[in-house]
Amino acid sequence: MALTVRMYEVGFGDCFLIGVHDPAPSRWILIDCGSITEGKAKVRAVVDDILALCRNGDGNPELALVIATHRHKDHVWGFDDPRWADVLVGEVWMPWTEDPADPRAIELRGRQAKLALALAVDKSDENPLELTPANETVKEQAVRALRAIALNALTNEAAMKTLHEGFKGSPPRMFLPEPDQVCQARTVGGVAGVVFHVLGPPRGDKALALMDPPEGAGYLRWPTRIPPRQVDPPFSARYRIVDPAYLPTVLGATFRQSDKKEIEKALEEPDGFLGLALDKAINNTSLVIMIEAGEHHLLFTGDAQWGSWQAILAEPQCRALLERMTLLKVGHHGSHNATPRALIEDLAPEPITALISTKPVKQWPGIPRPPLIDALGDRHDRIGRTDRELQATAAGFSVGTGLYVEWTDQAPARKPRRRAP
Amino acid sequence: MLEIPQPALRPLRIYATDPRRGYSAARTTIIEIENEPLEAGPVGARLEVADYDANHGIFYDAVNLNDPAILMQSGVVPSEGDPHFHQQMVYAVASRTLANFDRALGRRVSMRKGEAKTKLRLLPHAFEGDNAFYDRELHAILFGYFSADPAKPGSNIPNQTIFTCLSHDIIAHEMTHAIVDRLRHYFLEPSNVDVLAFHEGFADIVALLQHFSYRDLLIDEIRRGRGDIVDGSLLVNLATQFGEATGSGKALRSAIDIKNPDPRRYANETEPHERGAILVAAVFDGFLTTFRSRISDLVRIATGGSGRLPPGELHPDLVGRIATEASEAAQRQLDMCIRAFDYLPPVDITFGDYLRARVTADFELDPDDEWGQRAALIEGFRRRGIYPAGVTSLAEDSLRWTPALPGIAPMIDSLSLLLPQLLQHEAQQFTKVSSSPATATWARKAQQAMSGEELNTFLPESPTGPMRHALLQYAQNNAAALGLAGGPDVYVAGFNAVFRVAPNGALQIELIAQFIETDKTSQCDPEWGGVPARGGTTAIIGVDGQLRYAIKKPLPTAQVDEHAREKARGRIAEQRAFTERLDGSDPQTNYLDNAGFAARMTARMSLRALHEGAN
Repeated sequence: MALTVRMYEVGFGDCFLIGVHDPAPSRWILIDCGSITEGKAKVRAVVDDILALCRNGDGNPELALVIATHRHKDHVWGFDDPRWADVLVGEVWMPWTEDPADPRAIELRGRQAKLALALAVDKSDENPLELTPANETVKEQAVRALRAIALNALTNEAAMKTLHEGFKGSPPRMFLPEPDQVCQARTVGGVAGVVFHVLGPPRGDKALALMDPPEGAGYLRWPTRIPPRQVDPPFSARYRIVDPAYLPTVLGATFRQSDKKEIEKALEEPDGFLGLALDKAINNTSLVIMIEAGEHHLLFTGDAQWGSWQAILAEPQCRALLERMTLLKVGHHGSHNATPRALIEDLAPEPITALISTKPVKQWPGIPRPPLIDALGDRHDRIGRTDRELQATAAGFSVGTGLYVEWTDQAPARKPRRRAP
Repeated sequence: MLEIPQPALRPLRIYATDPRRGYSAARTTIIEIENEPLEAGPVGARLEVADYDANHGIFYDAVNLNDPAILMQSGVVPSEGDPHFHQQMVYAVASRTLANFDRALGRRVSMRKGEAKTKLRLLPHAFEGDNAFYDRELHAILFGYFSADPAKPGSNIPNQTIFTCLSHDIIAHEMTHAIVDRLRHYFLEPSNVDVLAFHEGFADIVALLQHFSYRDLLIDEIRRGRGDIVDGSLLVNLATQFGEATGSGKALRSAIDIKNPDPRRYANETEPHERGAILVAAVFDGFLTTFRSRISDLVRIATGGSGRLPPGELHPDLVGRIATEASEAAQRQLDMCIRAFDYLPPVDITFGDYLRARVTADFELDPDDEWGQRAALIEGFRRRGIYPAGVTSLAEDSLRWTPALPGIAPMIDSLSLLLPQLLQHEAQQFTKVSSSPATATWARKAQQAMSGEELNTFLPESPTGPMRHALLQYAQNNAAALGLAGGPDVYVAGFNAVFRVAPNGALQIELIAQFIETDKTSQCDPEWGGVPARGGTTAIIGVDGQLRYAIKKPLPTAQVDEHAREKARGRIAEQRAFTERLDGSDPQTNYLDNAGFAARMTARMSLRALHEGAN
């Protein structure tokens, strides 16, 4: 079977186009389309390429399946392009948390949205990562990057509308996994011979906690309460020391001016924790799907994080599937929490192909995480990175300069993986 | 005019129930604390209340507890609107907690941290927020205040200001954090899943048992008759009520699972408060069993042997006797809990270590165990699936730490000159500060002298300098027996002489030293996040200079035997795995810069963040 995976260079974002070329004509599956580091023009160019490529027999753009792993801007932003309305789509898959009829999903989305709105002080269209103000301190730089994470959660409406209501041909929307299904195997009309195994996100109550923004946990009260609830000094004015001569700091007592400063400094609010927690909560709603085509087992992980992975790895059925993995879309742009050590070390003892869609952001030196890249390298995995075109060419990927890195199964044949029982 | 001798105790009023449950229903009581010379603040020898509100940048007027008008009425009358009362309450409860530690440990715990921070600072209204925390760097406990949720005010009125510093259990809880941090510096380093849980659980245990030690309060509660004294449900109800306020309030309610504890919780729970609650429940279970056996005769008398109390009110004498038994049992239990500290390893504690330390400490002091307290305690732990590693059975003698083998050079050789000096110093420290005005002055001066807890913060020319040197020599000469590598960088984390009176009247004097070693590779590796692999030994030395116990957590070095090395490797691997697990569940890990990544485990030591998460 001829199979291709075109990984678009959308910077810190994901956009994967999978082609199933045997039997002809080719059928196409799109997984995510978004970015937070790239501008509109770049994302537009990516959509151009997709639309040009996926032509059906009538010469019209057609996708057999669109998968949106989760609602972060770096995964869905590209769907706000008006041209999607003319694309014929077979089915649209989203995580169960997007289901407009599921009360639990509605509540969860409501809480996530509320926190996202509260965090995004400035909802202007400009991308905090693109700004480069002069004379910026290191701290300001960090804050700017944190704002980008908060804004990432504020998916723009148009993109989600396309996914929920748009496209040509009124494709059915599936919210996965379906209740009480573990590792459900699905097929899509028109794509014969390809099986989609839905591994995540988990659905249980415990799983829900992973996706819940920290509002319920009480973080909102302090130190990052939003909006600040101003409280007056709790005592009547007569208890206040006003005469400077009586302030403890001048009285020669042990409490010095420096102590006062120290306490004030210690109470300063830590930056961005809420934004990060929300980021994790939404990442954990990611659809995790393994595509089985012949002997190929391609794992698309979205941005699933530690909690979601724990649930997946706890299912023996899922583990059995993961052991057959031949290609891995490395989760969350290569970050620390999105690729469990067990997945690489225990479940995949033989080299695989690893696709990493990423772009280093100065403030986040941990993405992609160097030890993870090293570990993949040490195992002789074939690594394709969107930010390393030369390397990708050397590793046998085809490269569309400035646009994509593509894997095809024409590349050096691998023998089917066998594991000792 | 004749000089009137100073009384030993000072009565002060406090809120005895959590005012978060509504100020109108709040109950007050008078507690007695050590009478020490006080300045306005109050500022004593080891505690200093500084009422600075950092949110508004203002100071509130400080109370002078020696004002005759205040003395005449046993302290300021409880009121939520009077900061003077808040200052008094914070001071009173903190002082009581400190005294409990002094008494159980047989020495005065020093609260001095270097030249600038000579006292532990208490800020009753430090900031606006539903939190209170001890901060090591500030050497202070910061209490927050906040307005009740306008939408969900609970038993308060909307927007009413609620003060965390008016909760007995919060004060005792935070105070315990502060004291434990003085006693065991490395118990904030999350090297295994039990460490922070122990910090939290132990703070809750102290708060709870201290609360139970107020007899007057118990009399009222027993008279109100919520729950049955015969089956002990009264105490369980009280515990959940008291426990509402502590750091793990919610968890404590679910933790008092006396009937059917779930041993799987200890295996699966990782959140420090939830896990700490298991420790609280295990200890509370033992306390309850002891209490029941102690009142069994009273119950028989009161019920005529039927085991059923007659309907109607309890006889006031019976109430009084039961309250006495409960408060004394609580105080004894608290003493035992704290006393175990001297028998804990200096690093990487587990609940199992704590059980072993308690059994050992208690056996050393009271081998007979007339009331079966130790057996009850062991049972409480067993029911929750807490088994110490490397112990073959839960029999008392296998749970006790193994006594040191003879053959080590007595410490007295190297310390012969210093030992009497240290003993004398600690003895004087332990004498009641307030017994005479002269002693009081002396005690203030003595604060500047020496004490084990600040051994390493002192300059070499200070009196502790030679002692530290002698201890290092001792550790290096006896490295093998102490389970140390014995390199030049052994660190002495604490050294104390302790005096205790056993129930049979015998005076026990012991010396306790903590030695620490740090693995250099892990110290520099950012993957460890700033909490390196450490080994250490607590050495308990008799007054004759013989090593009695060496409670070890060795590093896997060439100096320890093969079996111990294997175990040590396992311990270090465990720490790595634990770090990875924390990284995985922490949303911040992904977005840290390099410096933040290398210090991420240190950041997780923050009690403030821990307490915020619990709310």
